[in-house]
Amino acid sequence: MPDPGEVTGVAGKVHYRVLDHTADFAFEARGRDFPDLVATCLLACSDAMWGIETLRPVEEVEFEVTTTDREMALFQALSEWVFLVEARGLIPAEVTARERPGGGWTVRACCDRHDPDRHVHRVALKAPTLHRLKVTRTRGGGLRARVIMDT
Amino acid sequence: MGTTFHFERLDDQRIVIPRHGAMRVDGVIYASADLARRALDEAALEQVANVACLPGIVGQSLAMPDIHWGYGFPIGGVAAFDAREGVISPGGVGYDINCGVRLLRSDLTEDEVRGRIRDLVAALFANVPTGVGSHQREIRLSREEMARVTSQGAAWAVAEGYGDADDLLFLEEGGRIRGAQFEACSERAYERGRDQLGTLGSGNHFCEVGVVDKVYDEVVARAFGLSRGLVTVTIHTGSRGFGHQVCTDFIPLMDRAARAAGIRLPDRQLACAPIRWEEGRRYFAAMAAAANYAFANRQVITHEVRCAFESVLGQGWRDLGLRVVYDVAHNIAKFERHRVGGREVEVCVHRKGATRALPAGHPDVPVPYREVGQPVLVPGDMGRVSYVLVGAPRALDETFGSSCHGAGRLLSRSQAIKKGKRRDIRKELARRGVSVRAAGSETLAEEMPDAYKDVSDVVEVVHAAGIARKVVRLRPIGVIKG
Repeated sequence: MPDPGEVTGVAGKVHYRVLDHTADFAFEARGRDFPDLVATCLLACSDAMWGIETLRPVEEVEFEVTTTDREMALFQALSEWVFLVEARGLIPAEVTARERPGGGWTVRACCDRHDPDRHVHRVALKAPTLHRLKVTRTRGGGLRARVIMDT
Repeated sequence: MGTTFHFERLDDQRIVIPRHGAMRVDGVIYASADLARRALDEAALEQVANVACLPGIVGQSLAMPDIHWGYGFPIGGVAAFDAREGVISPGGVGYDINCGVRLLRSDLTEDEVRGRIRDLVAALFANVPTGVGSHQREIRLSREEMARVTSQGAAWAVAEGYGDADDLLFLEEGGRIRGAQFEACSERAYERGRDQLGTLGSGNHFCEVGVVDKVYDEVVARAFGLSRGLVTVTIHTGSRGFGHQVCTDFIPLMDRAARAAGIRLPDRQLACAPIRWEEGRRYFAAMAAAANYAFANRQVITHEVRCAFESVLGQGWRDLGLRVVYDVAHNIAKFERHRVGGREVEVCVHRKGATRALPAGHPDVPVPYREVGQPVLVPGDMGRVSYVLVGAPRALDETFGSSCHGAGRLLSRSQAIKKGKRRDIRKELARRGVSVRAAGSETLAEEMPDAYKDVSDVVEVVHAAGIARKVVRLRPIGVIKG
């Protein structure tokens, strides 16, 4: 698991900052806009749990996030990430998101299929939480989210 | 204590956060001066105060001495809400619905298993699926079977041959919470739960072989079938992905319900609905279904544990005396009757990282234990000790019949991993006489003894406060972790 305060990830793939939390996994991620922020948060989870460098994008999945409430939208997207990983054995390796006409977002994830020989979990992320979940604007005009995942 | 949060010491075992701002009642935390100074953090205290703001809360917003920062409620939090005017909150139960502890005892002595402990741990590791996304090869539930599991709980497992009807006598609520409705759970919950029954999972879940190394109350210990030197097995797990999905599904619904009810939430993870509303009733029905799944899960694991002992020791489990002492939930919401303000009322008690602790004579204590009280199972970390307590009368007066549930984390997982670098935790534990197997690469470091408070400090507080009394202490000799 990355250390708190450490900006981590793989160049060109994902950057996020791990925050200290007594029992669970907390991180801060940034994005140019909300779709970019959603993509970064999902990849941060893949990296924290499996190490993004171990993942190969082999199977594409698309899902909709229907709410316009940004925090709840992020919660929904992270819930999808958990479901894909645990129920379908699919680990998002590349993620893009775009705004839907009429509201909400479409998220496309290119996933690796879980392979116990290649994928050694570092931390088990079991559910997103709304606790202190906040999407705020950065000075540079981008967006920042603080996320706590249940472990 | 490293906090600026305003509190006052009530007595040697309790501190109080006086009602202020939007708080409807006081917050009370069970903590000795030493524990408060070393282990209380501001975020957890704030959560006690936040819970005190929820509509319909009665008595006080409580926290046990194993309190630490959670989300919504603190871990170690207990709160009761008026069954007619109050709310129900998934954040007061947690994601791992009916995460709980089951204790088995045996007629075996430490000397009889010491030479076989590595084999036993290996057999447990082979028999009980552990780790992230672990699933059961032999049990894959159809929707109809899942409906029966979630309705019948542990009794479903016994009917399927996983254990004995007598096991059910020694489970909280008999291993089945009434009011469960599988229809209240989503298709996704079913998908996540259908092949996870009989699995331990990951994180802090474990199965531990221990030895009774100290007896504090001979009479009660005898009633529980425990005596010095006997081998025990502790199982700590819950409702796996099924419970997590139920909680995940209901948080957005409860968030909307809270807005519709005009409830101002100090933390959005405290999303809740009035108990009487459709959303509240539906959550309770789904939560009870997940709770029953967890009771069935621990029952199937009990069978797997018995099979492991049989295969290594070459005797049937009944001959080994490997029977259930008790099974308690520590993440749950339940409708119970308690005295509040001098009169008995029905309340919905939320216990999030807290254990029911009923004293002698209470009608909900299993008949074989009614003269002594309900066993309270308090596991510690894998290198030190665990405790069996018994519920005491002041629990009914002060804590809605609740006590602590464990040691409580002291270090975050990343702090623990950092502290564990360049250390061989497996060898350190072996030097303490504990044989360990773990599924995850970093699990041993995350879960090393230093990551937790000393459970003995926690137990001393509830013992001195008179909400639960010490009965026996258990020392680990073999552990499997997720």
